[in-house]
Amino acid sequence: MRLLLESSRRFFYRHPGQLLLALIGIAAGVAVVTGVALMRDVLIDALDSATESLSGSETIRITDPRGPLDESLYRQLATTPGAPALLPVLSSRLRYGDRMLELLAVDPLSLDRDSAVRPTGSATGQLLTQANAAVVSETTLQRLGLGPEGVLEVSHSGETLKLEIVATVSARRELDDRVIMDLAAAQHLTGRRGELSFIETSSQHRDWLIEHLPEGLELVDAQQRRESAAALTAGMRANLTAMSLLSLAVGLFVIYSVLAFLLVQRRRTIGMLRAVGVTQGRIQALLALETVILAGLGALAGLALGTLMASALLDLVRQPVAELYRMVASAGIRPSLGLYATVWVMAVIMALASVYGVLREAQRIPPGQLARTVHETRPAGLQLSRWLPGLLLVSGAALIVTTRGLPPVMAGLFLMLSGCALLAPAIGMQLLRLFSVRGSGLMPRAIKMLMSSRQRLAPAVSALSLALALSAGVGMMVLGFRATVDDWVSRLISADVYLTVSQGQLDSQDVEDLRAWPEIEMLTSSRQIRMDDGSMVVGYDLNRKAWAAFEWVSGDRESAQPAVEAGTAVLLTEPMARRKGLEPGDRIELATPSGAASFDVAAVYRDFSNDRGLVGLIGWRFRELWQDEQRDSIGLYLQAGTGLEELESKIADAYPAGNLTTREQVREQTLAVFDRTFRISWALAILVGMIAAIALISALLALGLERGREYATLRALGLPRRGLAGVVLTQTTSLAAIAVVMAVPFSMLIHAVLSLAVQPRAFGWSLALTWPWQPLAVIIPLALLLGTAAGAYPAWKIASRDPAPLLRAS
Amino acid sequence: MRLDTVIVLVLVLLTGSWLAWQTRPPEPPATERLRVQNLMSGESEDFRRVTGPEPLSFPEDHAQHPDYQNEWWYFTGNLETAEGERLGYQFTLFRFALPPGEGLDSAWATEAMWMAHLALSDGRSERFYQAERFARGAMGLAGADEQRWWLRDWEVRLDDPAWRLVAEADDFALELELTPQRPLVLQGDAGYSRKGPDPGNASRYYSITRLATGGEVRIGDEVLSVEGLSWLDREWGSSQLAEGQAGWDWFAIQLDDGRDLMLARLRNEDGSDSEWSYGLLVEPDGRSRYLNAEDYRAVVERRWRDANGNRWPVEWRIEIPSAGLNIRTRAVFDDQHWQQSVDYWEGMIDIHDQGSGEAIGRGYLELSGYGEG
Repeated sequence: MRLLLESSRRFFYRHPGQLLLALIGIAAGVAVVTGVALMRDVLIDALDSATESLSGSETIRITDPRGPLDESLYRQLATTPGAPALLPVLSSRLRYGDRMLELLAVDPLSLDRDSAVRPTGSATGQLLTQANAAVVSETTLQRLGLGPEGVLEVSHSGETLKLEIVATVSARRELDDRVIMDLAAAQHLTGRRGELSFIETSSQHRDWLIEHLPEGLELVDAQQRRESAAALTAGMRANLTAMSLLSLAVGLFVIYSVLAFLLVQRRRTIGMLRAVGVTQGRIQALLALETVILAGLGALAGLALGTLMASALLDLVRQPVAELYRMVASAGIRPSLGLYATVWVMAVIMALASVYGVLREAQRIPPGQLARTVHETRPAGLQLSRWLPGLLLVSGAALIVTTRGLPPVMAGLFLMLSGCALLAPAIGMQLLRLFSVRGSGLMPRAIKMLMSSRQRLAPAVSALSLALALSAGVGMMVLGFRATVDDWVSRLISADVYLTVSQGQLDSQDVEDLRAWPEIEMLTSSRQIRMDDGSMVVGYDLNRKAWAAFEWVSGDRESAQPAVEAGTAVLLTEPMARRKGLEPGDRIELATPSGAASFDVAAVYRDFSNDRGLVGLIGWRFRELWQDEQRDSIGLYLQAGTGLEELESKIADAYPAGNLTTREQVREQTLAVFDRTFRISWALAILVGMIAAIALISALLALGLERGREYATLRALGLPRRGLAGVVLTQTTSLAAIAVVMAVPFSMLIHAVLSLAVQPRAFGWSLALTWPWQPLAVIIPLALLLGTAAGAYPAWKIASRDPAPLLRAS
Repeated sequence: MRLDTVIVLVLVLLTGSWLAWQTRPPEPPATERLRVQNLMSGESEDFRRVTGPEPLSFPEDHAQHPDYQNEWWYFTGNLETAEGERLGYQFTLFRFALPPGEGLDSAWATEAMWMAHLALSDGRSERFYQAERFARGAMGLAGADEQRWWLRDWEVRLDDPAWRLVAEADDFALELELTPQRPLVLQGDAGYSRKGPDPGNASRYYSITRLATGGEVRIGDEVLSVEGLSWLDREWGSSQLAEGQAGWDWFAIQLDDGRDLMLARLRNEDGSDSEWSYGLLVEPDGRSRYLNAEDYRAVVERRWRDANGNRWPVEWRIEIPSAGLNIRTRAVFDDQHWQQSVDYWEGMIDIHDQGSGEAIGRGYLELSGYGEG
């Protein structure tokens, strides 16, 4: 075996480029999988870690399902004999530029001794007495680009707050993007006197709490909080996982194509080894060991790259999670040995499985074979029945159409892509044949030469077209989705301007006051309540224009409006209807502060604002059940001829804390959130595109180098250097071209499955299928350009080489 | 081994260790200790200072004095089970006033930070139990009025003429009744206890030096009936330590002959005795006599080294010629070391006659300023 390993080492010394490509291919695939896995975990596990670092691990939380806790509960519990240490917390969101921060207001004196923000010296005094004193972690300070003892200017509900950083705490990542303040100051600044968000304590005191808690409050442990975070971000995580697995598949194609090519180059060596008595088993063992070493080294590099990638891209995931789910995740990833080991072992096993065909082929090399036979043997891995691709496509499609869950649709997509991967080389070669039969001259000849090694090129064509398709498909889905959202939001916002206030509240009286203004033709208003599971209940007061703005998925306005206005029926958004399996005519029960209330489902409408869903009911019924007269926003429809500036000054007088948002601004804000949400998808699409580029270069370099002997023959027959270079360039460019041509329908398939099946199942909303052309317009020329560029090196090398030694070898 | 293999192995090893380093658990944050000097000597114009004698009145002066920067209610005591096993306890409530606030619109807004220390010395196992709590002086979480001194559910309540002390920590608890056996005594000059050259380096200070104590002590699941003697110290002011003073050694001694003795030996930063050291001798009939630095001599006989290498003087020889006392004090056991936010030593001691070696009393010793190097 030692001798065999020695031969393989010498081979890689002679072909360092091939070695490098194999390593990069696997490393890139593994990096994406690792990076995504790490980012995904942050969304679940690290959500809790901020309070964990304040009050210790394994905590239990007292919450009030009806809303904020009354702070008197803390006094009542804390002064009860035998009371455990309890940490009162008030949490709010702050905005710093386009970043979301979490304000964690605590009683510093109730903090555990081992807590990260234990009171020390004068900082405690400042926290307790100053209205704007805050503490942040050192890394937060760096992330925000502030010096120690700087002033942090943030906004809370539209109001600017200037917080003075009076101390930093040791650099724990869990406190990243958290601003810690004293309860008194935070209640004062945010106008939330009397409120707590929750009270936290060690879970070992559960029994004591059960005994002493008043009715109606809930105890939520860390596991439950993780589960609800997991449920909230399920859609987003599923999307990321799908992308990462597809990237790995592309990476595996790269390693397959490289190893298959390496085998061709070593046919001669293996033949010699067989001739000197090395058994088939030994040869196979050698190749398997080689794969394990290559894949193992590549995967190790991939783990490191993935870790770096996750750290770098984490904000792309955290931002939308903070915007959409109101959860500021930790800014630091938490890798575990378990995760690393799992990904590494999986990568090596998948690499071995993917080169199974290559190993089988190696077994067939007869002793003494020193060169490739004229009639190329088919690699065993690709000796597949003609009907297999079709079967994969059909069964994948069947799986997608006949099931409802997300995992089957991912499996179905995988099957279909495998079918595509098998189909790509066959169809691609047919296309090449069309070119080659037309006309005579050097180019058709070059293409014919290319076709003669089609089996060898098959994996490269598959990998390439899949990777290109994936990049383009994801891009098309995101752009199509954006167009849908734009269309939806433009239609939905029917008022001219929306009034919100940053301090205090709007209520029914304000609505009545505004209705009397001569500038205002009519009004709408709404009040939202966030439920435990992240879904919303909205009390709507709508006018005819607002009613007309709904886009109905099922049911219609004529029947829905009277029932909803009568207070007996509700509207559901599409995600809510899908998640609960409800349709018009069904009943839905809502938990309200006045007890459970049951409603008919009147209609289902399109909504992309909340993937946990939203239930809309008529305002008066909402106010009756929730005992809540407040309004989050009032939509103003202006009388013809009323200028916006005129209204603005009048509003500024009547509502000093009021903010007016125009229709166009609402649309822009919505799309800005959308764009931030999909930045990670773009990043992953670009990464897959880069893997595609690696696959392309690897395949083309291989092609150019492999055919050295044939090029030598052409040179010997009198083809000038320039002509030879032309042949090589033609071949690499056409290879890129067929990959691109195949990638177009595949990308459309991916786009269609993501838009029509994955999005509805992951998030609950359906998308209208549109066909944005931009991703293809970028990828097609780029791939062709890369194809030509990647041919340039072999073209130059072959053209400048002396043909004699190569010919002698044959 | 070939060079390339070595290079690959080194790279693998480096990458592997980098990955392993990524999975390290987060480091626990560094916790900082409060410095006694900072707590006791911070001078602020926002607070009144004690500059001379003023009449005290009770029960009003049992309640907190928010105009002054710091204040404490301090119980220590030697206890015994029916089998004669030794226990000691300490319960202290500290108030530290905060700089004036900005009038925050919140029920949590506070003018003071409160700290409570609860300790139990178990002479049988030589274990020292300690628990510390903080609370703000708002929301009814901590405070002191004429009838009740409390921090959350730890409290001392006046049940005339006795005090009832109830405090429960995770692994131990006290429930004691303390009945004064002699009248309250004013320390220093009618309660004006001067500690430095500036008349403002002073506190208002009174004590009840002998309280008959009975009740229950819980250690883990074990409940013990106990009896013994306690000592109460009450002190408030705005700047107790003068510039250049490093700490103090405080003795509260109850002698079998009925006399009670308090010695406060102030130490300068250079280790020497401060001329501002003071003391008080209380006769069995309740009459008391002020002692100044020249009236007594305290010499360290033995030091105990804690895990951090700090050396605590746990054994002393004390001479008070005017009282005919030449005594030796010994810690009942060495490790009665407070290690929470504040680093000090507070524990039960035995008193022996220096000449005969005979046990002649019991007491409590507090050592401060040794653990902050």
